[in-house]
Amino acid sequence: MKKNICFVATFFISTINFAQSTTDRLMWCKYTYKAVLDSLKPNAPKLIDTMVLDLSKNTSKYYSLLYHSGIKKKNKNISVDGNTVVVNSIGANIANYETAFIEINYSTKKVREYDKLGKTPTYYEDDLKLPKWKLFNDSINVLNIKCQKATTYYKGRHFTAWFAPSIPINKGPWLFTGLPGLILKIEDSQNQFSFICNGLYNGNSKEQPVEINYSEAEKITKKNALKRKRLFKEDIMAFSELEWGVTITTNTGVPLPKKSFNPISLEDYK
Amino acid sequence: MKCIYVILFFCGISLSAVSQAIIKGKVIDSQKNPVSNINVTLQKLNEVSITAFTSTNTIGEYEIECPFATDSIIIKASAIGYANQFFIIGNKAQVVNFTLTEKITELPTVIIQQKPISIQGDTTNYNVASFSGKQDRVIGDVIAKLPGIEIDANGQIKYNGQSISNYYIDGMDMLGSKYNIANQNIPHNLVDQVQILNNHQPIRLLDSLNTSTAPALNIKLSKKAKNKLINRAKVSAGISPFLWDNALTTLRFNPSLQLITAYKNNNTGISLGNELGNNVSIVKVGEAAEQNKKEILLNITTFGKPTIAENKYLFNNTHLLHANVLMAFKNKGQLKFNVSYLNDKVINNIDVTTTFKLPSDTITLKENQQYTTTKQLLNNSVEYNLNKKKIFLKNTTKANILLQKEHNILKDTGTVVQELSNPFYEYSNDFALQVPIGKKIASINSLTNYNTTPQVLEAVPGQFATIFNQSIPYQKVIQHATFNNFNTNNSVSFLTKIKKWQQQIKVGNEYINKRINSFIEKEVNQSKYLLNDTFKNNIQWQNNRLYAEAKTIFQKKENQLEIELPIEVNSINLKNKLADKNVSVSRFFFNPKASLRIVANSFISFDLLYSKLNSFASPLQTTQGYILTNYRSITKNDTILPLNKQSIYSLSSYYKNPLKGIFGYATLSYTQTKSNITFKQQYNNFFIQSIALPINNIQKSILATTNISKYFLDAKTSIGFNYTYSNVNVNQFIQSDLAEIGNTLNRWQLKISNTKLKWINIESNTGYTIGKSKIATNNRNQKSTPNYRLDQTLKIFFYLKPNLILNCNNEFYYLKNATVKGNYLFNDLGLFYKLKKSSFEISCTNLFNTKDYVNLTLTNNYEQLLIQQVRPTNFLVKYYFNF
Repeated sequence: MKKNICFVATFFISTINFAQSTTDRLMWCKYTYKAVLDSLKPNAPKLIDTMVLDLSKNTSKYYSLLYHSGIKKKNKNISVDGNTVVVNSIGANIANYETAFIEINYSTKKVREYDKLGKTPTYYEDDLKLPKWKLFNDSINVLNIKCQKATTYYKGRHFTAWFAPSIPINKGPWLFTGLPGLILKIEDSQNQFSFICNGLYNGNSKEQPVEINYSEAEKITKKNALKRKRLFKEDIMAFSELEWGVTITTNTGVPLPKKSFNPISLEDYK
Repeated sequence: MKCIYVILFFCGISLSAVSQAIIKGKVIDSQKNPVSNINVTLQKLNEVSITAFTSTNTIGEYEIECPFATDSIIIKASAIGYANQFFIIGNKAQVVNFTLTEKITELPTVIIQQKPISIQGDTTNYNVASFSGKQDRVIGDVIAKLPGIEIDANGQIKYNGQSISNYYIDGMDMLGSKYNIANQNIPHNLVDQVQILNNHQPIRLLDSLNTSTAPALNIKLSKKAKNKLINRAKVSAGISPFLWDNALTTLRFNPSLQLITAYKNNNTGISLGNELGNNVSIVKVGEAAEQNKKEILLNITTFGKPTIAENKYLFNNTHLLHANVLMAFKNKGQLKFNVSYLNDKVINNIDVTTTFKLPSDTITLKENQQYTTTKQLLNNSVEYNLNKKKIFLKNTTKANILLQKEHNILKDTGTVVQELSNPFYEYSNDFALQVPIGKKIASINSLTNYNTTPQVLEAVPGQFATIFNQSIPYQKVIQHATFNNFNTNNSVSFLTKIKKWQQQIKVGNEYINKRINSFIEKEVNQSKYLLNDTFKNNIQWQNNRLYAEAKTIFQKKENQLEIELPIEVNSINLKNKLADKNVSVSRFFFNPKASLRIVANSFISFDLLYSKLNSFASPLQTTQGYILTNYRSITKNDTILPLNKQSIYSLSSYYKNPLKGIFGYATLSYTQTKSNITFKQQYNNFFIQSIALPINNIQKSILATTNISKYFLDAKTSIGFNYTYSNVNVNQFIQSDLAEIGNTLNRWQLKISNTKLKWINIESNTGYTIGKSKIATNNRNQKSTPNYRLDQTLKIFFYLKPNLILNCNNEFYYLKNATVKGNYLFNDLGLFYKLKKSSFEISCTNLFNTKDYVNLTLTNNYEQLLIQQVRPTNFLVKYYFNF
């Protein structure tokens, strides 16, 4: 049985539930996230995404605005038709989005990483590992806000962060946390990953992020989750066959090439 | 030695004691509850950098080690939602407790920042808020200011010199080519981004096969525009005479429904008809298919449009009602309705001096024209489309009615009154279906057009008495002329892609049937007489065009070579029923076309084009009987099949770097049209007799355009320069001499705008034009004195307060030719006061009450000098509100 891969693309995106909530939101921010997808090809076009960091008093949520809004044009291979995204030769594009939704509970020091790679959404839970930061006197301005330098070795990579002491929230994008100010910019020493804040919004501002409800997500082990993610990123067609039990072709008939996965956390994907 | 060790040992102890000073404490709130996750930081006195930090645990306790050895340190507790608290303490182990008070922490307002221009893949995003000024109202105002984008006088949007192919609102094409409606009705503050989609392919079935090189534009609405009804109104009143300018607009944008509807009326000089303008998105060079257009048989307007802003001279009373709905269904189908009704009355008072330059003579004609046009236009369009990966289906039905009457009183030449009834009825249906069959894509296209133009012109007193009434003056001449056109074009095509090659084979048939019927009546002593067959036409023209076309496209990355090799057999039958002539001929045409697009890199690209088109010209050129086109012109042609052979060569180069705001293009095109007809203009005093003769004629035209613009992102300043050169050469008999007539136009234009300063915005547009013409006959060369024209528009907006804007609009014109020299200055002032949901505007147009404007035009062998009456000083109070 053969099915057009576009069907899968539409399904990936359209079955995520949306809900609006502004409960105890302190503030939220947008980051421009750039990542080298293939570490062997550092000069190839990078993934460029817009990420949301949604901050409450004891929790934070971090996810791709482009992927979760589901209506953005990423490039010419995705066409917008009303509110539906249709992806052409989709594997490449879906795998290129940052699909994970990360929720951190700072009271319990637990991290939940949700994802919807296959039929049903899944999540795994992990302990929050705090980065050990070293402070420096250097400073730069990001969004006209003075930021101080800090560095860390975290999850297998060296990072340089710039945090804003004037915004006393000890959080940041992805799993970065623990500095005495919001992290507005952070990048790794090999220039493969960067997060730069491009918008800050008060919790009560008119513009609110779209919240994603993963209440029906199925819990799986961290090991299983990482294995699924690696397969999804490296070989979307093999993943799809495993997940859906069908043979999937692209509309051009040419199989999608396998890819090299370049995770930000080298430690988890050892 | 031991002593030294002892000293060092004790120093070590003391240093270690300083560096290990541990400060502990607890953080509670004003209710004395412990507060967790509070940042506690240490700084050196007089330094801003944080040198150590920690945060409180779940019971509000912290412990921090001071890593430096100064005497005093600053310890600070901070968290969002609380006021910061700090103490200056000695650098020693101690307990420091904090009591924080709750405080709403507002982030600084300046920190939400979006880049004005960004690029994602093939999409260039313009952040609307970065380019909009407080004076802007609708999205069209902002689009016109975006770097690299220009909107011409008809509303056509061009991106770096290329017309856009589609205009989407949130990804949906609601208006087709009538996108002026969106530009004129969607408020700019409801739009987040204007996106230019490069290499856009609107048909999803062709996504991977074919790439269109024309850019498309998408309006990305903000959240506040969605899922609700937006009503906006404008109410205005003014003097003098009594003036009004009102508008009511309703908008709704849902994923499944888009609606724009408006009722507008005014008598303040705003031509609402422009809102319904059709912007032909892509002009297909060499396209042979028949269009549903109005053929002009009779035309009493014998002067060109003034070259000043229309609202300066238009004396109008206009009502416009339109409704545009797009419904999107779950099956991806879309149903669109576009209905509009325009009721327009325009009065014009103009003095026209026309100088005809003849080989041995000059004729000067002065006319004072009082001109009234009433127009009722009803447009209806219904479209259904299904644009899916496996099918593309589109059917558009249009039915339009135009009822137009023109009334013209001419003085200075003895009073002549002209009345023209000039209606136009058209119907069209356009069907397209594309489906994949195996590895091919099959297309079926069917287009049917029908239109009729039954015109009647009356001139009082009767004209051309020597021809129509044996040189005896008579009361009235009445010209009846009807043009009917029916054509249907049906084709089938197959498209295949093999690696980098695309091959399309198309076969089709077009049937064209045109009828021209005209006769002249004269009224003598209250009785009407039909003039004889010399003044009649009854022509039926039929063409059965069988065509086959092979199109090959080779693509390598973004480079593309496209070759079209169409062949066609035209079977013409021309019946002149009055002359009892019946001509049947078959003609074989080969109309090759080749285009090459070279994309050197993401900044530079080139387009080269060659096209040849053989076609029959309008059968209007076969009218053997006289037609009175206006009170002083009659035309007559010889019965010959008018044939045009056109060759087009064009070269374009483009440079674009949106992130740096640099855009530039240069195009050069040469067109040569060989025609088997040459016109002969016979002047008898100022009566013109135009006769088409079967003599070969070559028309050559050269058009060159260069445009460079730079937007300085930080300085918010834009500078643009444009140069246009055109030269047209045509052969024409003037009296009995064959003359080569050449018209040359040079125009330079400089645009500058600055929006950096908070208290002032400036927009300046300066143009300089030189027009020349020359007439060369066997005996002599005659060059006209050039026409010079300088035009300058300067708009200044003073932001007196955040919600109070003073705008000054200054237009200056300088004109010069051999006989006329003049300066014209128009000034408008306006005060705009903005409230939360409404705003007021007081405006005064033509502040110095300039009475008239002189316009010069130079065409072929005649020169026109227009003295156009200008609208007097007008005062208007406008109130805008939303509900």
